[in-house]
Amino acid sequence: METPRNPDDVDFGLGTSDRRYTYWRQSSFHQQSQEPKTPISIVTNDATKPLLSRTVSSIDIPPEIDYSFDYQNDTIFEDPKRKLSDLDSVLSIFRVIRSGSRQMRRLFLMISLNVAYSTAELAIGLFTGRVGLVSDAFHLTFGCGLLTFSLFAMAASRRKSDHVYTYGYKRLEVLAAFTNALFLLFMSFSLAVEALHAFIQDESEHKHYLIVSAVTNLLVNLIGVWFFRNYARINIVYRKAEDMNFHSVCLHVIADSIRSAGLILASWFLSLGVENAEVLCLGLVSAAVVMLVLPLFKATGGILLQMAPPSIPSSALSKCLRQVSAREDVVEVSEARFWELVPGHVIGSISLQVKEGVDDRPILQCVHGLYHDLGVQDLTVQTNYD
Amino acid sequence: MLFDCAALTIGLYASYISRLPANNQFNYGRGRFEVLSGYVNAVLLVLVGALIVLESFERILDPQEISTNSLLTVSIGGLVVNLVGLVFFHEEHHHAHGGSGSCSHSQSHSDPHCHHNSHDHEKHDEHASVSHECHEKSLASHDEHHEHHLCDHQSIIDSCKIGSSNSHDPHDNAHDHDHDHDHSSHAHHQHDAHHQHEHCDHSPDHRCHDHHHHANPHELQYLDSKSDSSLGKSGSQQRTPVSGQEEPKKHHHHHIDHNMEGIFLHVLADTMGSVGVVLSTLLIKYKGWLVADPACSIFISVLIVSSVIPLLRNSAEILLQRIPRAHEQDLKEAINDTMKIKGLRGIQNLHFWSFTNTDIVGTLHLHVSDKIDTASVKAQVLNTFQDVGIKDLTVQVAVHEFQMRSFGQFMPCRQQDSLVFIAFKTSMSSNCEG
Repeated sequence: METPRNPDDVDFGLGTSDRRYTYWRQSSFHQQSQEPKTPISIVTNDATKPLLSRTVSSIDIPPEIDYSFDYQNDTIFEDPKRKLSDLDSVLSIFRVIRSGSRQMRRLFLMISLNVAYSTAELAIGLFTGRVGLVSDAFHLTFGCGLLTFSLFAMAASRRKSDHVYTYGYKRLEVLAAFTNALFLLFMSFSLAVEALHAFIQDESEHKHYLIVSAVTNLLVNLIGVWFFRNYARINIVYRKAEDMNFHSVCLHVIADSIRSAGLILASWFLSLGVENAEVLCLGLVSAAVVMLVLPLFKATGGILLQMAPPSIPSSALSKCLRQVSAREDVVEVSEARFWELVPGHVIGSISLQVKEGVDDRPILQCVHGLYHDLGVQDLTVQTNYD
Repeated sequence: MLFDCAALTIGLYASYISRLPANNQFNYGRGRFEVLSGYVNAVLLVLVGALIVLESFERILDPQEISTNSLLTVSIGGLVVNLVGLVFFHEEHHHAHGGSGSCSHSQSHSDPHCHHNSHDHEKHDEHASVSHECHEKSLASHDEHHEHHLCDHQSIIDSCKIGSSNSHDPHDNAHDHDHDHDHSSHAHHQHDAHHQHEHCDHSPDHRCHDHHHHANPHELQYLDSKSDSSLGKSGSQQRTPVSGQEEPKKHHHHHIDHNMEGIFLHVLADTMGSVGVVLSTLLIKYKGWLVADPACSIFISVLIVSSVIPLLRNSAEILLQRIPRAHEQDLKEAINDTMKIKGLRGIQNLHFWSFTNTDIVGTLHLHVSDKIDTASVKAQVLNTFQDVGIKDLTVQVAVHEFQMRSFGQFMPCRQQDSLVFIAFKTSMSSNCEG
């Protein structure tokens, strides 16, 4: 459905009817204005630039970092400096949140809501001596921890690349999304175990105050779902690193609300006198969560495993390869390897065996042009003479 | 228990699948599966630990009566099973603690194929199959002892990996090897003579052999130059002398297989859990302390989480394409050496990242002035980086004139030994007929 050669077409024509893209149209207006557009930034957001216009340096390699080699203060290798920068980054989170995108502020609001709610629950539970409330509060905080990690990833990923993380920190968002997905899978697993437990033990004691807390929890989470409604789909075409992270946050919130809804349903069914209602509901919830999360899990895992970019079909890549190897002065093409740093930023390296004595500049230019048209933003071409 | 099995299965599956060759989908091969499974294992352990802590808090608030009799037998049985597993991960244990947090990725028992030129897939396969054969052999020899636990097979594979580089006795041999390095330089020389081929395989990762108690920098130096010469390079001119200040860093060049470490930590966690259960059961039985059980579990899960954190950090760093910690210093030296090459105007897009814990991939763009022979410059750069263990390097050489015309303008100017590039992006039209 999507033409691989020109992913940007989708914004303007092709994909506007596709509901999977709706979030993009909305969010792009807010985020683009805050995106630093300096040419020096390592992860230039090329998805928002016209790729195909020939007048705009189509074989341009983004200048990226200039590795200055003899720095007077060896910042990389000294720990105190880095710790300072870490502390700095922690402090800067708040600054970034204030200046950050709308989604980030919403996430922050969401987390603080959750924290406030769980603190209240904890306090009530401790004072009234209801252990169920306390454990519920703990579980809520647990989930909050991962949301906070996502938030941290969002804040940190804005940092420019340095000499240690030469590709920048964007990948942190993918990692956060992966971790979130992993957590959700873990949650569904433990829900399934709980269901089994309930099935074996068949204890149908239910606590009414837990129902109240589940309802409140559901409400809080529904606010979150509304916040991230743009991402509330199972399959999303990821354009940027943020998309993955927001998607994972959204799925997290959805999974939480499904869980609370399941609990409410279970207690309702129990009060109606349905046998094994809890088992049924918990099982359904865990299956639903797995179904929800698996696509994201696969996508993020694929990126972390350095798989070939899913945004470029392998047929296009091999066609490009054939085109390169069909050139007269190219003897052999080897080690054509492409991977995605974050969604929408494809990096490749290729090694060419060139005939003796041929000027390799036009070859370089041509190869760069070909792959850049395909969407490979960061290409390294090695030319070896026979 | 089921959960543990699942986690261990992930590890087993990953270590199996990571030996498969590269294909269209996985351009670099599937070695990342091991790193990712290490990360997954670490995350799961942290989650489990946190959950256990939470549950223990609940139980402190609301102590429950536990039937001690059946619990004791079950927990002792679990302890025995886990101890058997732990024995096999003894090696891993060593390395895990040697790393001590800061920089400890990659593996020490690296079987040969990891270090061969990874371009060569046939070779890759061959080595993989050799080590598989070896697995089977030792599986056969060990089967009668232990066949009940998943992790046992895992550990055999693991120990066999150690064995395959030395001999077929997995356990003692690796230890001998270390001790030779550690204590007597004479033994070391002999050792080198005997295992020449092995050192060829290992040379870039030479410092990975345990240098815990290594006090003598000269010997280290010797090792380095040895490794260089076995590669066929003259190492002495390339390598700047190892200064005393760097010495402590070298100690941390341990190489750990993330996957194996994750599995080991899992087994360790289980063992500690069983120990805790046994202890707390005894305490409850004879002292009547109901709090003992949650207290024990909190203590143990805190221990587990703190032991997992290094693994978590290292695998996350690899997944985030960080410059490999173990090679940071070497890379810096190599870059400095590279900068001294005549006719080189600058380096750009310098990226080094470790694909797995042993394979480091690098790409860089050289800008050279047009009067120089590009091929020789490239060969020099390749050699320099190969000496520090980067086998997989892609170098793009761009002649400066060309650079001015099409890529923008680069004006290198030396300012107090620091090279600064000023890049002006110029719009230009491509003249490529693809």
